[in-house]
Amino acid sequence: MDKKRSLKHHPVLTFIGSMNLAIVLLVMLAIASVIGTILKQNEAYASYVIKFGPFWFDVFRTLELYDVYSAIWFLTVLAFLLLSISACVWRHWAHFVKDMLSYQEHTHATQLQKMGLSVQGERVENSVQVRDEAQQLFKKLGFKFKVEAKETDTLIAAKKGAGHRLGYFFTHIAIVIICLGALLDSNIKFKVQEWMGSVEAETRSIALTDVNPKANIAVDNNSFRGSVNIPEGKSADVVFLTFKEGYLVQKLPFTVQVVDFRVEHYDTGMPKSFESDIILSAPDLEEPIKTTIFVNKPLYYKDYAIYQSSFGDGGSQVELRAWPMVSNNTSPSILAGEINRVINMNTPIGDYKLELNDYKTNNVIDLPEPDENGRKVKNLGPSVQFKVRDAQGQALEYENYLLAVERGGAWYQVSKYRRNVAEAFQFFLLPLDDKQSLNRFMRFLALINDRHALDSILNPGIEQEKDPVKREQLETQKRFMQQLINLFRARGFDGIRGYLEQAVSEAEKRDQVFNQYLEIMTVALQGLYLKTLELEGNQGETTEAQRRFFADSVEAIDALKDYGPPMFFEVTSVDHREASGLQITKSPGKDVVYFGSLLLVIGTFLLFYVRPQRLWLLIQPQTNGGTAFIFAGKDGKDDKMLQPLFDQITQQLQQAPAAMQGDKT
Amino acid sequence: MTAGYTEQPTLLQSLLSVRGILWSLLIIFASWLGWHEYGELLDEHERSYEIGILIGTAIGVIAFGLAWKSMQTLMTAVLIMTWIGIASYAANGNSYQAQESAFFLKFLFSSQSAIMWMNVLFIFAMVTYFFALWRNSEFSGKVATGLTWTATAFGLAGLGVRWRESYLINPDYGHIPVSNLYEVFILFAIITALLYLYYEQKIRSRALGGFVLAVISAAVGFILWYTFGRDAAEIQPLVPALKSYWMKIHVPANFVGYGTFALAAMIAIPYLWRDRIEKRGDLNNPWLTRLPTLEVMEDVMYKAIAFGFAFFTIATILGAMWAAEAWGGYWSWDPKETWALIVWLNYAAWLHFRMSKGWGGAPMAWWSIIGLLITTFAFLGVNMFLSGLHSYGSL
Ligand code: HEM
Repeated sequence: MDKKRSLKHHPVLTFIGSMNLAIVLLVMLAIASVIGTILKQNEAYASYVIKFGPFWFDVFRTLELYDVYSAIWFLTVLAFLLLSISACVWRHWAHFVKDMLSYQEHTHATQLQKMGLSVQGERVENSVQVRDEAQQLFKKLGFKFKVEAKETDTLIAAKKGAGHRLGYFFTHIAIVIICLGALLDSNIKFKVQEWMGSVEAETRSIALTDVNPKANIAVDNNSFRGSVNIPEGKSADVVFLTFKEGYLVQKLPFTVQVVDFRVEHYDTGMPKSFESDIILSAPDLEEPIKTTIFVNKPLYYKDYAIYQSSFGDGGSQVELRAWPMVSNNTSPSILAGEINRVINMNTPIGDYKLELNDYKTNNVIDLPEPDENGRKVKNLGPSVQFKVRDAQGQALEYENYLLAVERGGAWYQVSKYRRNVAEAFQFFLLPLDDKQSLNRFMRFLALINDRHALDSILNPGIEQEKDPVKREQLETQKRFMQQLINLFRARGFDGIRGYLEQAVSEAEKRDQVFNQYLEIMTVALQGLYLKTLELEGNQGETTEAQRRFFADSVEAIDALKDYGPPMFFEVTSVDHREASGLQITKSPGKDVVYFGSLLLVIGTFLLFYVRPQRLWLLIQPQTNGGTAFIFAGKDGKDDKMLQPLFDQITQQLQQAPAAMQGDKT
Repeated sequence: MTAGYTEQPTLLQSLLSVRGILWSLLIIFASWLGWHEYGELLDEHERSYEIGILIGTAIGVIAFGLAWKSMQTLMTAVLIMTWIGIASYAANGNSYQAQESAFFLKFLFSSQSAIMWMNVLFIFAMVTYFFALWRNSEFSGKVATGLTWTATAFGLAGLGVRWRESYLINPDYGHIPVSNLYEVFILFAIITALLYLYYEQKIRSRALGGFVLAVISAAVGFILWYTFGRDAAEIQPLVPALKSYWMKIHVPANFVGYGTFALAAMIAIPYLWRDRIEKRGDLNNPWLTRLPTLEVMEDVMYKAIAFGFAFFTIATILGAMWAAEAWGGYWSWDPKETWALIVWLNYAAWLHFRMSKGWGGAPMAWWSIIGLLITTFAFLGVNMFLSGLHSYGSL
């Protein structure tokens, strides 16, 4: 017993449990926290070097300022605060508890007289009457009391507000509890593993099976906070934790499947809500949990919580037709792929990679002028973005729309392209035939590409020609036509102009010659076009629509020189798959922290709003049958707070009952 | 004269008086009416929490009114003003545009007009309080108090009507007006004013009014700049992260804290002034008769900080619980969160210092002024200079 006492008063313990140290520690924590908010935490080291220069970068790193809240010195301050509070509670608890329970009924008359609030008085009633009256009064005012007989005297010792002391214990123990809860949720174990070298971040984005084994974290990790993107219809049993310059893969003891993901928007276009229908299955669950989560409504399962946090494309399934554009082949090959995946294509003209980048459900564009309904915007519908990369690694970027657009009664397939990311996309339109298909255009293009197509159209005429000179002329004309068509196919109208610039020296003559050439070429193209129609089964007079189709096709072929790839990718269908971005956390300390918080709140109110107050009434019977008394009071903090009550009780005590009241007012 | 011990009536005794019963019935009726008319507009997922919050608020308001009679008058006025505002919209086809034509809305009770009245009246109140102090004029003091009460009523009614307006613009937008800096500054002005009015009655002196109203007027200045300079008064829909019943309790609890800390700091100014006069030994200085004594001011300062500390503790805990639900962790060292901790640690240290004695009153007064600077940074500076998860109102 004695030993304990002396330990309690050991100077080291006294210092650690002192209020002054507590204040210093509180202020230190506050300052450290300030640093942590001013200096952006956990950024890439490179950006700190740029910001502070190499010298200060090193200084700050040594001080662990880039991750203040898990710095050793910060944790040390925190530990000292905990130690200080514990020491403080330890030092105080015995006498606080004693004080709480005690009525201090052994206080002497002299002590009472010396108190800040103390009066003496006399009453004509006998001591029993005064005692009963006082007891009643104290009871009414909510004081608890103990009556102590001292020889002839009687002491009524009363107290109220013991809860104040309880408040002290609650608040201070609460802080210890909260910190312990936070410790349960901290990544201390991780830090230790990192020091021992058994944990290493994975920096590459690769398939799960290839991840560095040291980046795989077992299920039994006691606390973490990670995220994972799960496409609709798919499931996951891991989350990714950001760690240093890369990530770790945390295994989960359950599987989360995202059945459906939905986004709603306000009329301003701002997102209004994200939500996912999920199914959580675990071996120890008899029945999987089916529920819907959204922002502010997570699913709690054991120590885990599953939150809706973001969204993205989850690998929409895309089907395409790749139309060959540089051969006489007219049938497209059918391709199937997935957003964020690559399709490898081996074609007669080389290997290509088709990289499917994104799927957009809506493309709202501004119109130069309002349409017939007065709307200034138009939704072009869904589109797929992709890149076509050749064997040399050169890529062109495209965005192809799924829906045809109408322009002045004719229908077109829309594609956009650009050569590099810095440029804006260019529109490219392909005319569609009566069946809204690309067949006619592609057949026409195939004939243009076909070196023997002109033969088949013109040869009958040439063969029927008997005159060898004329026949030779026709042959020459045919070859010339073929050359023009080849030039046009390869480089468009500009190609023909460029050729003329070299072939014809006088500038005035060039236009004239150009027009002649154009006429000749048009005749040839028309021939090929009629052949196209014929192959389609159309004979006889051409219609207005068919003539327009021809003009549009020529325009499109002219534009092909910039469009790029040897294929046209027609997106035939997309099965939209969204991915829901989930955050999954495990925090076993949460309930501990909440319990501590509750204690803290209760304790704070007890400390501030329960006043520890004591009253003593020493009753001394007088020989004349009357009674003398000493009335004293004490407030735990500040006697001024007790003063009004004390004065009023004094008045009541000094007053004789109405019947015996004399003149003293 | 029978001088017995006069007890303060307990809440139960106040409740059982005629006035107490009428007051309670009024609040119950108003709550019921609100629920009946607009209950289905609230988020269906959170219906049960919303009912809990409504009942809790009603009980809180009733108790508040029983403990502080002036509250009953104020709330009755606010309910009438809000009702006129909402009814005027209803009479005009519930069109948000009605505020430009309907008389009551255009000049008094549309949220924009009511808040403008609040702004103007608070500034008048400050000037009048200072005038009263300077001229030692009892009458002017009473006028200043009246202006402050009126401004508070306009502010509360303005927020009430704004709540309704958010639904009128678009039912999708509807939310309680505590979601951005513009709205919480109004809340701050109102709460600080109410806290001041409470202590004004307690200490029976109007001498501190000008000082407290100065910080409120600063907030008003911000509101005006924000309204006209940044078009911030426009009602915007909520981002998904703020769509939660937690906002209704977390934000107001925080502002009780901010309000009391501001009050304490503003009382520190006349405290230091008086302290200097007394230290100079200038005992005939006329200000000494007008300003409350050092003990009284110190006491108000302590009580305000203690009250604020308790509320701030609750608010921070509620914030952590909300964060756990919205961001996936109860503590992320997000700047706003961290600054709340800094503010809290600061006042914890203040409270301990006060108990460990040693230092006299003036340093504690200086400290509470510094406390307000820290609080202001947590409240405003974080939004201006630091970025984080707290998504409402960046400047
Ligand atoms: C984060 C840390 C702490 C917080 C938030 C805290 C909070 C409080 C609060 C609010 C009070 C009541 C003040 C008042 O009545 O005006 C109090 C009282 C007290 N605190 Fe702390 N405290 C902390 C740490 C400590 C430490 C480390 C000590 C150790 C010396 C300590 C010792 C005391 C004592 C002795 C009291 C007075 C209890 C009484 O009324 O008799 N506190 N604390």
